[in-house]
Amino acid sequence: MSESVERINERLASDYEAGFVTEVENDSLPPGLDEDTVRAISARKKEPEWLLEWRLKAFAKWKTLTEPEWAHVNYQKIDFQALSYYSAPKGQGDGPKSLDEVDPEILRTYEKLGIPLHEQKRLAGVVAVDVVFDSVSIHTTFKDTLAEAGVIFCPISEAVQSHPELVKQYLGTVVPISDNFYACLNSAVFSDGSFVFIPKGVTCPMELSTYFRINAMNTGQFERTLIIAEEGASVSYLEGCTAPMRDENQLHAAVVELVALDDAKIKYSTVQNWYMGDEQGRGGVYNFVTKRGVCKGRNSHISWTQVETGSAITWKYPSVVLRGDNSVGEFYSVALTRGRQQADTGTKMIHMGKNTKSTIISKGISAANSENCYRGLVRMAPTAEGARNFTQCDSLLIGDTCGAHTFPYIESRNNSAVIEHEASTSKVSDDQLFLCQQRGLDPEKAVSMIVNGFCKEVFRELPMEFAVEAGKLLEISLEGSVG
Amino acid sequence: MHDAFKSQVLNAASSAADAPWMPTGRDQASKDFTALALPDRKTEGWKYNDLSKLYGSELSLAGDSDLEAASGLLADLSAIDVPVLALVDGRFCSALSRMPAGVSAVAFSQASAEQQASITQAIGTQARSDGHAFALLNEALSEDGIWIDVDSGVNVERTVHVVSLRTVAGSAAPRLLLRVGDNASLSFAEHHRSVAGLAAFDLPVTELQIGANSSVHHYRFALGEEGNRHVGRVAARQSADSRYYAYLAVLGGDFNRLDFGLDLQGQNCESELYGLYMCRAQEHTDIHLAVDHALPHCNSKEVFRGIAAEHGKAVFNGRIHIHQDAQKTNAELSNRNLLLSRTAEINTKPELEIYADDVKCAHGATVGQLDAEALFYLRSRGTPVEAAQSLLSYGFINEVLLAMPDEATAGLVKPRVDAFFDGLQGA
Repeated sequence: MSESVERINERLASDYEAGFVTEVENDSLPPGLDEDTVRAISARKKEPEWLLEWRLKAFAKWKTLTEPEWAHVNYQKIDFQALSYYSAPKGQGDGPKSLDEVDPEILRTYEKLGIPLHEQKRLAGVVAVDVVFDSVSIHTTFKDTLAEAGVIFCPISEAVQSHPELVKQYLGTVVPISDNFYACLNSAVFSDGSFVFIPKGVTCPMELSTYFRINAMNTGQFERTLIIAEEGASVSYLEGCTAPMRDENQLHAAVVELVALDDAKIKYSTVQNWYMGDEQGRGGVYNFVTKRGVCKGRNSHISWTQVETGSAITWKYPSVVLRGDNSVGEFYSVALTRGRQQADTGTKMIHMGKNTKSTIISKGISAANSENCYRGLVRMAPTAEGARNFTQCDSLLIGDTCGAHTFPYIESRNNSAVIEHEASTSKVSDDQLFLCQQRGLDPEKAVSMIVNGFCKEVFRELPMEFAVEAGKLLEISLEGSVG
Repeated sequence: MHDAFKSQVLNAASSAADAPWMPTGRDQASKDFTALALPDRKTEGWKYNDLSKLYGSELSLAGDSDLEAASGLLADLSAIDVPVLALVDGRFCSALSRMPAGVSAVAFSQASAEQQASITQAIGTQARSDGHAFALLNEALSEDGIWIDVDSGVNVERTVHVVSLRTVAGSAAPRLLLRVGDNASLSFAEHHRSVAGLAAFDLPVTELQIGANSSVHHYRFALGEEGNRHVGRVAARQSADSRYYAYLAVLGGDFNRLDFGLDLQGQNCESELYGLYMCRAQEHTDIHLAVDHALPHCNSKEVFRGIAAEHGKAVFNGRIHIHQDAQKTNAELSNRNLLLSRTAEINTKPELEIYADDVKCAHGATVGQLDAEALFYLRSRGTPVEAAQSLLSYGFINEVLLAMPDEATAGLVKPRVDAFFDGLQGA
C-alpha cells in the first residue's frame, strides 16, 4: 500500500511542461506600490481621467484593508512592495496591430503551449483567442468575424478607448472596489484582460477564449475581465493559464465580472494550470481571484466550470448573484491538488429573485502533501420565493498525508425555498479497482478511469476542446495511481 | 457594551460563594475573562448570533431561590419516580433531590475530602477553558456542581436525572462532572428548566469521561422560557471500545447556544448523537457540534433536525474532524431543517475536515418546507390544515424522539414539542 502511494506521488511530481521562460525584453515598472505606480500604469494605458480616479479611489481603499486570513491555507505573507505591477514585452505597450508586429519569441511561446494565433491554422473547433502576456494583451484573433455579428471582443485597455461608455457603465458593478482585499488591489493596478460585449439577441458565433501567461520575474498579474450579455444574447468563454517554473512565488490577482440581462446566457470555463511550485513547495503561483456574475435579468443563466490543477495556492470562489426572476446559476468544479498545493475554492450562490435555481457540483482530488478545501455559500434572501439549490461536493483522497475539507455555509430566509447539500469523502475504492483489474485493465488505467468517472459530471459541462485538455491534464497528473 | 458586561461579571464573581474545586480559581478566571476579547459577529463561530441579546441585559448572581416554584418545575419527574439531583439557581438542593442507588453521586459542596480530590483532578480536563470566553465565565461564576462517578464494572440500571432549575433572575453556572470507569454503563439525563418570564442567564458546563468498553446514554433537554439566556457547553471523551449515545433537545428561551464537543480518544468507539432544536417567536438557537476522530476504526453518526417558525432563528454548525491516524473511520452527519414561516431563518454549516485517506465520511444538509403533496393528501382526507402541518412537522422530528431508548425520559420532552406546535399561529 505505502509503496503504491509512493509510486503515485512520484508520478504526480511529473514535469510541468509549461514551465519554460521566454527571453524577451521587458518594459517593466520598478517594484513597489504607491499612488505613482497607479498613475504610471494608467498613463501607460493612456487612460481617461475617470478611470484613473477610479483606480486611485481603489488604491486609497486598499490601504485601509488587511489581508484576509480565514481561508484554510498557509503561506508566507506577500511583500506587496517587492512586486512589479506592470510588465510588458518591449514594443507591445501600445497594443499590437497585427500578428506581424508581435515579437516572434512570444509567438513561439504560444506555439509551444499549443495556442493557435494564426487564424488560418485553426483547428476544427473555431475559437477566437485573446492572449495576455504578463500585463498586456498580445493579440486577439477573429476580431473581424466577431465584429460582423456585432460582438465586441478585445483587450479591456482597448475597450476603454473604443467603448468607454460600456466600460464605464459596467466596470465594478459586479465586484465593487471595496469587495475584498485582492479585488481592491486589482481595481487599483489592473493591467489588461478581456472585454466581451454581446448585443441584444446575438448568439456569439464562436467560442471566445483568453490565454494568460505570466512570464517576467517578480511581477504580479492583475487582469480584469468584463463580459456583458444583453437581452437574449449568449456566449461561451474559455480561459487558460500557465506560468514558468520559478523559485519565488508569483501573484495572480484577477477579477472577472459577468453581467447577464434578460434571457441572456453566459458560460465561463477555466482550465487553470499555473505553475504549482516544486516538491518542497518552493515557488508557484498564488492564485487569488475574485470571479462573480450577476444574473440581472429575468430567465438569465450563468454557468461557471473550472478545472483547477495548478497554482501553489488557490483562493477562488466564482459566484452568481441571482437577481432576476427564474434565473439560473451553475458551478461545476474539479480541483486537483498534489505536491504541496493548497486549494481553498468553491462558490457562492446568492438567490434574490423568484424561482431562481442553482446547482453546485464540486469534485476535489487531493494527493501527496496537498490540502484541498471546498468552501461555499448558498443564501436564500427573503425575496427568493420558490428558489431551489442543489449542492454536491465529493472528495477523493490519495495517500494519508493530504487533507480534504468541506465548509458549506447554508443560509435560508425564505420558507418556500429548498436547499439540499450533500458531501462525501472517500478513497479510490478497493472494490472498484479489483473489479477493473479483474477484467484485464492494468492498475494505472483503472485508477485513471475511476478518477475520470469521478469527474465526469464536471467534464461534460466543458466545451469539447477543453474537456479533452482537462481529461489529459488529469491523466498526466494521476498516471500510475494504484490506489 | 463588552466593557459593561465584563464589569458586571467581575461584580458577580466577587459575590459568589467559594468554589475551591475550580481548576483556574475564581479570581484568576474572572481576570482571564476580562482580559479576553469577547466573541462578536466577526468571530467565525458566532457570526449568526445577535450577541446584544447576551451582553445587553443585566448580569448578576442569582439571589435566594424560590423552592416552591422549583418543586413545581419537578412535577413531571416526581410523577415517574426517578432518581433526581436538583440544582436550584446553580446551587445543590437536597430537599428536592432523590439520591440514586448503586452509584456515587454527590454535590461538589457536600463532597467528602476524598471526593473533593477526585473532583479537582477531573474537572476542567475535558472542557478546557483557555481562551474560551464562556467556559471562563462559568468558572468565574460557578457555585456548585454534581459529581457522578461510576466505578469500573458497574451497570447503573435506572436513568439518573440531574435537573438545573431557575426560579429567580440572574446568572447560574452549574457544573456537571461525570466519570464512567471501564466496562460500566450509565444512563443519565440533564434538564435545564426555568419558571416563565424570568431574566435568567444559564452557563452550564458538562464534562464526561467514558472508560474503555463502557456505554453511556446522555439526554440533555434545555427547555427554556421567555426571558432565558442559555450558553451551555458539553465536552465528552470516549476511550477505546466505548459506546456513547447522546440525545439533545433545545426548545424555548430567548437565546440558546450549545457547544457540544466529542473527542474519540480510543479505537473502535461508537457514537451516535441525535439532536432536535425548535424555535419560534423571537427565539434564537445555535448549536455548534464538533466531533474529533483521533484514532482508527471509530464510527460516528449525527442526526439533527431543526424547525424555525414565526420569527425564530436557528443556527447549526456540525464539524467532523478526522485526524491523520484515524484510518477506517466512518462518519456521517445529517442535518435537516424546516422553515415554517416567511420571517424565520435557518443557517447551517456541516463541515468536514479530513486528513486520513481510508475513511468514509458524508454529510447532508437540507433546508425546506413541508411536502405540498403530503399536506394535500392529509387535507383531502379531512384533516384541517393546521393539524396536517403539525402532524407532518412532528413526523419530521420524530426520528430524533424515536431514537431515545428510555421512553419515560423521552416522555419528559414530548409535552414541550406538542406545545410548540399547538401554539403556532398560521404556520
